[in-house]
Amino acid sequence: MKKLLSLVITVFFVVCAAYPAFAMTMPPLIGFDPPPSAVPTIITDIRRDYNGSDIFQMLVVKQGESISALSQQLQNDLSYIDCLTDQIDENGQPVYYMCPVTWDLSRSTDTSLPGRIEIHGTLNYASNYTLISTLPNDIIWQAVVQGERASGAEVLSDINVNFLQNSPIPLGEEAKNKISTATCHTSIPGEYFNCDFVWDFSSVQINTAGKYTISGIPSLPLGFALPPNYVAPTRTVVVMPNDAPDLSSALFDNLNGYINCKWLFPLQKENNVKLEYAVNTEEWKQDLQSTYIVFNSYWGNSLNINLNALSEKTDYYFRIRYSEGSADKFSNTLHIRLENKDFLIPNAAPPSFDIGGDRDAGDTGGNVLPPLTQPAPSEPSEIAPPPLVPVSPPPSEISPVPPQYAIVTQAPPLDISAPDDDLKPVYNEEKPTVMEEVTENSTLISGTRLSQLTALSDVVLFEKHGIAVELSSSLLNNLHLTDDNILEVYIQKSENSGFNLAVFADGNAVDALPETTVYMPFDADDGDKLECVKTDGTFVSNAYYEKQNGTAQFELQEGGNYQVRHIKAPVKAPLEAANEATSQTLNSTDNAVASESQSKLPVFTFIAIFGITIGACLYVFVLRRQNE
Amino acid sequence: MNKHKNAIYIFITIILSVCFCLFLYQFDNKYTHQSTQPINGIIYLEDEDFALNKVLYLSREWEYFPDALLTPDTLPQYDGYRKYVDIGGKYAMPHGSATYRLILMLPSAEASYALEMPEIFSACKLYIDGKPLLQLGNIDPQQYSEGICNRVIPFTAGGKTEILLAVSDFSAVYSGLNYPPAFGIAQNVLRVRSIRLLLHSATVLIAILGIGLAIAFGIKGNLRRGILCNLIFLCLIGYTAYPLFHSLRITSFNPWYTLEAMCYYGLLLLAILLQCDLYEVRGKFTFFLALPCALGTLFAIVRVLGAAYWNIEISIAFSFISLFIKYYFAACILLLSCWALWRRKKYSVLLMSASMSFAVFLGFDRFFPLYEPIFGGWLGEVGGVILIAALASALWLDAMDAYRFRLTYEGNYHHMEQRLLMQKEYYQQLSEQIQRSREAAHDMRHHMRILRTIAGESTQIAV
Repeated sequence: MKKLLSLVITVFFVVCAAYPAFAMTMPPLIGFDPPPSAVPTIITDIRRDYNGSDIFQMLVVKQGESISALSQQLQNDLSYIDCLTDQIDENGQPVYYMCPVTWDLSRSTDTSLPGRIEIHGTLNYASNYTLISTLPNDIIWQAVVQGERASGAEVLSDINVNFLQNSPIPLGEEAKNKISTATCHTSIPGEYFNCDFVWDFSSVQINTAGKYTISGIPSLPLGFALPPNYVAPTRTVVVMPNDAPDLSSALFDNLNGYINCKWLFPLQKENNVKLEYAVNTEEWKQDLQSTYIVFNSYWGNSLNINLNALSEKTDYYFRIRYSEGSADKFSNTLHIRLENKDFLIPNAAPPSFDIGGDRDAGDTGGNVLPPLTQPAPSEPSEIAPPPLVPVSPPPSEISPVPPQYAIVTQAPPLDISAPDDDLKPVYNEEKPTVMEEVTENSTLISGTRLSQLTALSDVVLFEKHGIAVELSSSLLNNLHLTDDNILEVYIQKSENSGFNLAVFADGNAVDALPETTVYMPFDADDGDKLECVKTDGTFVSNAYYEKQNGTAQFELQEGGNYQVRHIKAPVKAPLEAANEATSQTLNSTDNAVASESQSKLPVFTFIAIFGITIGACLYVFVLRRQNE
Repeated sequence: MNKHKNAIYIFITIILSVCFCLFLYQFDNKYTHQSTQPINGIIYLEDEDFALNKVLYLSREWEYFPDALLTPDTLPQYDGYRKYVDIGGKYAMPHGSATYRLILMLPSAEASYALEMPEIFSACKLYIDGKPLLQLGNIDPQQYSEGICNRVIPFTAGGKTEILLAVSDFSAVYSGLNYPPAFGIAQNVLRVRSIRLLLHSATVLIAILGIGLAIAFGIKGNLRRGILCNLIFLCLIGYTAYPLFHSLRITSFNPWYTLEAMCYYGLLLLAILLQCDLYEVRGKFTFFLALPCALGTLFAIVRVLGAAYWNIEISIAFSFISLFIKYYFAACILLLSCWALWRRKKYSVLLMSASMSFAVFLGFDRFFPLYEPIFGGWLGEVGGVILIAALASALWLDAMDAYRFRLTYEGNYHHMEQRLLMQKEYYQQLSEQIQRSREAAHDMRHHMRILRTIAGESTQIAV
């Protein structure tokens, strides 16, 4: 019995060690070409959604407008249609075929009457495909001509309102940004179109600082009606003075796990901005390592507070300390207390292999170096950083706590008196130190360095997370930055092969970035068609895959949030694909390919053998003990 | 010595080890060394940057051209993907070719500078201001050959100076520029290099002396322990002598780096075996304690020897095994020492303190991965040296004990001999006395017999 038990335990140990290792060594099941077959693949269904999204855009044309207005949209979005085939891949999933479509707009010329019209197209499938007999060769796409319909308005099923920019409104001024975009879903499942969404700012008292809740209404095209029981969405806007930094506009962003604060007062580098925090009743400290607070723009008017770095059931106070003339000033204080952090989306652990020792073959992958901050080259560092003046955090005035976290903002702390003269920071006001900074997501360089970089080449490279952004030297020269000015470039990687690019010149956002080339690490196959789109799906440019470096190359014209995605290439006929694969293998002399094939030993075999050997020895040991 | 006292010694050892680790991390570390660093592939340097014998370690933001072997002539025509890399930072290039570029903006007055190129894996060609100043191996993938060496390249420059380094690697564990190069005024760079070589030479010398001690110990005393100690000292030499070795000659990757890795992991194995031997732990228990380290050594040999064939996943897998071995070793010697302390084994306090110290160093090696020594050795290396020193001390104390015992024994023997001589003399005297007494008794008896005879004769005359 004891022998059996020891055998079971040992086998369990070996399996535990071996299974994950061998499971990881299995060749990938996805992406294999189907076996060659002489029988044509049968197209069994035609799908109208895109990229498995189950939603598809309806085309909208104005009444009386030429139908050719739709040709560009058809070219961009509907050149290929997803077709379901009778093939099943290794995972048991049906294989799709992106079938080219030729649209014939001449068959849908009547836009004089409001209502739905049909756009006709023809499937141009490859020779080794065939349509199932029940499917027609033609495809029909719905479009809508705007206008009052005799049959009554078409009732929408749902409306999703896109994010309204959370810019604070200056005290005493009218709001500028009153329109955002709404996605309107029709009664046909998956079908949608976009329209403007107009926000109603009438409840906002522009002469009184504070937070206001606003609502709005979608600007629907004629012929459509709001869904029944439609509840208008609301947003919070903040009216704040622009004569001091104000942290009242705190907005929670769970995707990134931070609270974003924007203010209107333009903080310049002469203001010697310091970010300070206090925990519970402890003294104020400067957040030198950006543990909690990160400026989106170092000299700008926005910051992020990283909620993942905060502890539960602890009071945190944040404020900005800055100088104006010879006086030290403070923003109002933001109070945050997290009762629990369950609601936060945890930060993905960085794929770090910081295993010690750089000579023992045990540090594969390298390490993450900390942010680098140093004085700009032309400005020798002569000024010591100002000493911190301990000031007790103000008493908290905690407002009713929302279910998961609480943010309490206070009026500017008038009771905080200026520090004694002896403790005042000593600044050299004539020549402030300009600091350059390199962090995980940003690079801040001085005009001196920039001028050298622009002189070296036609483009200046900025790179983060492998995303290489080449800004035109002429563009950067036109910014006319002086040696003391700072150019800030933010490149933040987001999920789903997306990234955010923002450029600031001396604190001012540079929106237009013509002729900007971007290389982004991307997982694709040779011949895949890629495109760069904005996060709302707007097409930006075609992207080209470079197999050698595994990057997608594309061009941008402005900063913003972008994403690279596949335009599904037509699935090659199985026979064709198999032949191509064979010829590649036989003819390739590419060194990288040879090296790759050479090194295709089972992944994690080491761990498996290691575990099995220890397990086997233990087994022998236990058996021998039993025999004794 | 009571247990509380031992615990206090061990606690003090841990505190001292932590302090020493922090000291090394702060003051003997290329990554915490306060100096101006490149940003976007350009570093601006002023006279102040070279003051106070300062040497800069160029670890940040080198411009990096993957899969491209560029020369000063072909660089302007390059139009492709490039990025910035931190040396020793996070990027993976298992094998291949690449080019690194850095622009130095030096003070305008020309001066003599030196660039210390650490070991670059595994072939490189260096251009400074367009001039080829160093070539090790052949970087051409078609005619690739290895050439690994630590070199100082002196040059005269002023104003804008471009460093261009083309590298190829198809055979090493690490690829390309893995250790930050040192740059500064020539004599400063050479001074730092000399100190480093001196320290490593001293370590090697001590290890050689240890070998002598261990040989003597093995011949005169415990042969098994002597062999173990000898192997340990040889391993110590094997993995601390690399700066000397790579400064002296250009090498290929194999077999030298395989030997170095074997010595490193072999040292862990041998240290466990020796500790078991010292604590008189024998048999299967020793076998199973040492088994993971033995396997780790074997895997390290396979990993480094076959570096040309393993892919990045295998490398990562071995990194985890390496991590496991380090933690296992630390835990193993710690437990052994605790057990020995509990059983009041000889030398347990000394060895346990050293084990604790090694565990702390291995822990810091993991907690502070961004460490590369300027003068001394890696944290694992320093911890190993401390443990080896403790083991050598244990051996030395053992030998001293034997010597002391011999002296005492000799004294006692001499004393006993003296006492024996005295006893012998006394015996002789006693024997003589007995003889004399015997003779006296004999004389007396003879005398009495004569008297008795005379008395008899006198009676007859009277009758």
